Amino acid sequence: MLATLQDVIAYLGQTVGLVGDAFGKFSSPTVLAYVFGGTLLGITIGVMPGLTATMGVALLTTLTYRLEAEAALLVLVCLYVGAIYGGSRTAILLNIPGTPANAATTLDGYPLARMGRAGPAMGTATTGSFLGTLIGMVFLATIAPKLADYALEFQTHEFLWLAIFGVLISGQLTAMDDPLKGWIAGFLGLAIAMIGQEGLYMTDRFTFGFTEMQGGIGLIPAMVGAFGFSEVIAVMYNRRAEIVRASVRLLDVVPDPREVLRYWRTIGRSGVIGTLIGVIPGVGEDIGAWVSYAAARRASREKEKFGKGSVEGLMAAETGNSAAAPGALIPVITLGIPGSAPAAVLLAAMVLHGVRPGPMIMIEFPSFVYEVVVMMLLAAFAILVLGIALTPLLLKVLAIPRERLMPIVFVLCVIGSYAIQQRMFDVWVMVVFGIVGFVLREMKYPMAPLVLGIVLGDIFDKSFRRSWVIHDGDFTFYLNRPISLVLMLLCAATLIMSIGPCRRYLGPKVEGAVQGTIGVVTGLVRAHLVLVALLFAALAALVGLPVRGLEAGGAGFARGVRLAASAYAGILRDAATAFGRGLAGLVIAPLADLARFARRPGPPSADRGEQA
Amino acid sequence: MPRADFLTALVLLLVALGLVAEGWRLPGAGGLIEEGGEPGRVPIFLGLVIAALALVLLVRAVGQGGHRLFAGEPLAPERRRMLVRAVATAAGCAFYAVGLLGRSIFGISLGYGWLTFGFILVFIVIAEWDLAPEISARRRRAIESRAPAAAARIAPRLAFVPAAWGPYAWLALTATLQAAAVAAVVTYVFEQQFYVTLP
Repeated sequence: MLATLQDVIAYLGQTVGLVGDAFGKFSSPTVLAYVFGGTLLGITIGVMPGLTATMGVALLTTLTYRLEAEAALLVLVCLYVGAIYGGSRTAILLNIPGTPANAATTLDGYPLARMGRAGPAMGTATTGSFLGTLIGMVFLATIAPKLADYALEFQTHEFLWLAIFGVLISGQLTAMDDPLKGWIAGFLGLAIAMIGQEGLYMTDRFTFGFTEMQGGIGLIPAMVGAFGFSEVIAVMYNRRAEIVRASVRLLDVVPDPREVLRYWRTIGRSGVIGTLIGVIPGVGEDIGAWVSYAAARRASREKEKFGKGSVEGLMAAETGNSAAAPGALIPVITLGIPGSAPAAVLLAAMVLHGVRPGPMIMIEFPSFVYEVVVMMLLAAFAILVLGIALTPLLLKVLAIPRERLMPIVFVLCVIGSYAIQQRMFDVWVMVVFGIVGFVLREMKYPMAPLVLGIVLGDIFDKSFRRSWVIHDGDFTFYLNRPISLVLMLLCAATLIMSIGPCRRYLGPKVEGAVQGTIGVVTGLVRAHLVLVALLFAALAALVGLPVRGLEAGGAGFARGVRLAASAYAGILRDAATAFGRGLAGLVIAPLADLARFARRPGPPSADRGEQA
Repeated sequence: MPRADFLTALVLLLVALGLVAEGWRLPGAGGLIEEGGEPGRVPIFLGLVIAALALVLLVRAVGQGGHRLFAGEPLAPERRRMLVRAVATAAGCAFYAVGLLGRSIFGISLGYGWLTFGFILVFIVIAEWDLAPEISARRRRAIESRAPAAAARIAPRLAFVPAAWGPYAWLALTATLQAAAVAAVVTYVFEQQFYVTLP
């Protein structure tokens, strides 16, 4: 165990060293200008309802393609983090989420503003976003390199099931009320990716004789259309002419450090949840915020305040969505699969700048993960500084009429789509995706699975056919590969849980099992911490032997052992009970229900009725 | 929504049919491709999955009465206005991007800068036309409350513009300035800094 602990400490030390090395690349004044410029632009985009982080990243990708790779990606990452944070201002002041990621922020942010506490609410949002980004960043720095090593084990079978699972889970989670529409969007995305020359035998598919279509549908023009042009149409469709008047003093917005101490559990929990949700393919920041908010509400001692102006709720939502941003970059860098829609554009931007994200990242670009970590860190500090210092200016941005802004956005959509390859075909793609994207969104089809489908299409196509060739269509082979099997089971579980009666019956039981598993993990972690404490106590007692005498040292050691053993046994007992309850809830209870259902008496027969 | 779902399901079934038909038609590269690796295999699979999902959507929509396309109440006036705005925006923007850029009209080929200037100007004027009087009145009230002396000095000098035209003249002036500035900056940045051959 000590060896494991030593390994962990050595790994963390090595990570810190590599991050420090990466810092060296970002220490010039020009870099600071990029950081503050990108973050300010991101916050401004986030503040304006109708302009989203995805749209901002997509448009700026086309504007920065002439910059060097590090500079361009730095600006894009800062814009991404800034936009997710900036949306909280609009959510607090107008009750309209500036970006979809800030929808959960409206629940408590707006009531706080109505109570006259708009300034402190913005301070809380700043604290949450800053700490959320930092937590996600720590996970990015520590998990991504290990995941990339692990991903080297992935073969065609794993990638096939990962693609199917990504589309299913993204469709399920981004269209909670109607997973059917999420799945349709995902499979349509996969179908769109079939356009162009396929990658194995270079056969044209769905090109209809147009040479421009042989290269397939470009991700950036498609994203600019689906998230840029469709927003222009949507803003004009739901036109609102209100001018916001809000006055907030600068001092009110300064975050209160006491909040961090008071809500450290909520911040930690929301940061971890947000990051994990970010890692799930194609799900993104908005779901990260909702799940963090729900978890905070469940665990809070002030549940009744949630939805009526709870600082804890606001903190959870903002920490969750900001942590999801670095989380969404983990699968981008290690697997080449985006965790969210803005991350999909970042993936395209990385490819545009010569970086090849995927399992080979730690071999081909070993310092890249740490450079992205530094970019995240710089962006986090930039939102802290700009979020406080530019509050009055950012409030004025809200007053810009949409009718003045939208033609500029569209002009940038057109020139941005055109500029990369300098061909009008990409402009047509942008226009088609804009109109189709608007229609689909109005009919409640989520865009994230569609984008994920387009990204995963190539991987899915090649993996599907390769695995068919390798095993002559014998799909039982997937059952022999553990990762494939797990992914297949997850796909099956996603499908089963989307069926109404199954969800209603199994939902509470799965929740119980998850709670039980969390109990087991928490118990084991605590138990091992006690063991470590015990070892240190033993060491201290032994070291103390020559000074305090054999008797005193021996007695202290024995007492320490007794205490630690008793605590360890108690914790293990708790963990076992929690695990047992979870297992009983998930497996035994449904079986018992089934047996009861089979044994239930039928309707009284005519004979029995006569006897009665 | 059920009506929209019904129509969408029909469109999706057509898409699925297209995927299967095209996948079936794709060649096997003269027998060089191993069984299972044919390029049409995945489109056929996706077509079948989309068809299955579309059928579920269709059945659900029919169950909710979505197949009665002409039943129900007509669109409310406000909703009709919203739809007109959306269609006009989509059509106008598409016309600028696909119909004007890079083409010559009646033998005249306008440059990117002029077309962009015209597009922004027309967009703003049309989009703000009905709001112009309200915005003008709000601006006048703001100036009068913040700087009454300046308002009193400016008002007589603008008397030559009829009161009813004032808001529209202001709209045209500011829209022209904005359109000129944006067109000039975008053209300069992409042509001179990024070396893009503009359409």
